[in-house]
Amino acid sequence: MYKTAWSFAQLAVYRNSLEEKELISALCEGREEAFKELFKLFSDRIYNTALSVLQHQEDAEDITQEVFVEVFRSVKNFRQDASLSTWIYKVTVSKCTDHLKKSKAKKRFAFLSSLFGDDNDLQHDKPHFEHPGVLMEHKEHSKVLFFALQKLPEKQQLAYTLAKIEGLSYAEVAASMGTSVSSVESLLFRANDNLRSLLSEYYKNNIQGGARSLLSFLLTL
Amino acid sequence: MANRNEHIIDETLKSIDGMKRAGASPFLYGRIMERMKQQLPAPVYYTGKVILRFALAVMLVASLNVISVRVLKKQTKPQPLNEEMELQRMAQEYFGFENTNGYIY
Repeated sequence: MYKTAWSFAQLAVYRNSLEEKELISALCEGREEAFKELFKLFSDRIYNTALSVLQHQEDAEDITQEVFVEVFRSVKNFRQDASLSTWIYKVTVSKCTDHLKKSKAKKRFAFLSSLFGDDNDLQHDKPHFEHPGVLMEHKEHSKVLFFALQKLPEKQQLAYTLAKIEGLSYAEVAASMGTSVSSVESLLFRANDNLRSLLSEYYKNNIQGGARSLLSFLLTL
Repeated sequence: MANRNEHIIDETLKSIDGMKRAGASPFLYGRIMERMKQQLPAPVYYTGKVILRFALAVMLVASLNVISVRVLKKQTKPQPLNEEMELQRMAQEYFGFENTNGYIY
């Protein structure tokens, strides 16, 4: 029984790899239907990853477009050492990293120019992002979590997003980020630790602040 | 208080459990295709006007060639010489002087 199940699983993997090879060769030939198929398979994964990392809808759409253009351009150079999905996640991660770096530089510039009295708005205090895939009853908590995620170092944020939100295995996260499984484990451990302390600080301030404002409101009555 | 905080933190960390993937916009495919068309070099389309101009240029060059060949042919056609003149020329070529004997060799 087990043997049959195992061989079916193997067959499925083999069939998938065959289909992937066919898809890649069709993409190399520049066939539009292959590109359409690729879009159908990966558009949501790329968009969801970009959206979770960047927490901005337009930016996430831009990144998705960039990833597809990049994939279509460089599919001929794809050596097929890893699976197609890992390669696409890798491209997505690199695009997101570039975008994060650029936006951080912009924020720094806006902060400095605000110190010197220019009219640039500070961009680091964004309104809380609401992910459209979160369950209704978790909406409020998830807003706080995404806010805290933004404060994590880049690599920790990416590892956490890929593992916890995209649901990739540690091996897949490692391949997408170009690191080892053990470093992914350590990144996730530190991310979890940092998130806990960030959330603790956030709730301490908010609950205390809320209580203080309620007290001052009552005193005025 | 600390326990309550811990509980909220746990709830917050668990808030992404069971979340669904956000779907990309249905218009995204069209936008990507548009972007790719913009970025790839545009194919060169030969319109009727261009073809006509090219054909006229080829015809002009060909007719100029024909005319110039005809003119050259006309210029290089050998002139009819009488026998004596021919002999004189031969003598000059072989002996370096003109034939004055009046003999025909």
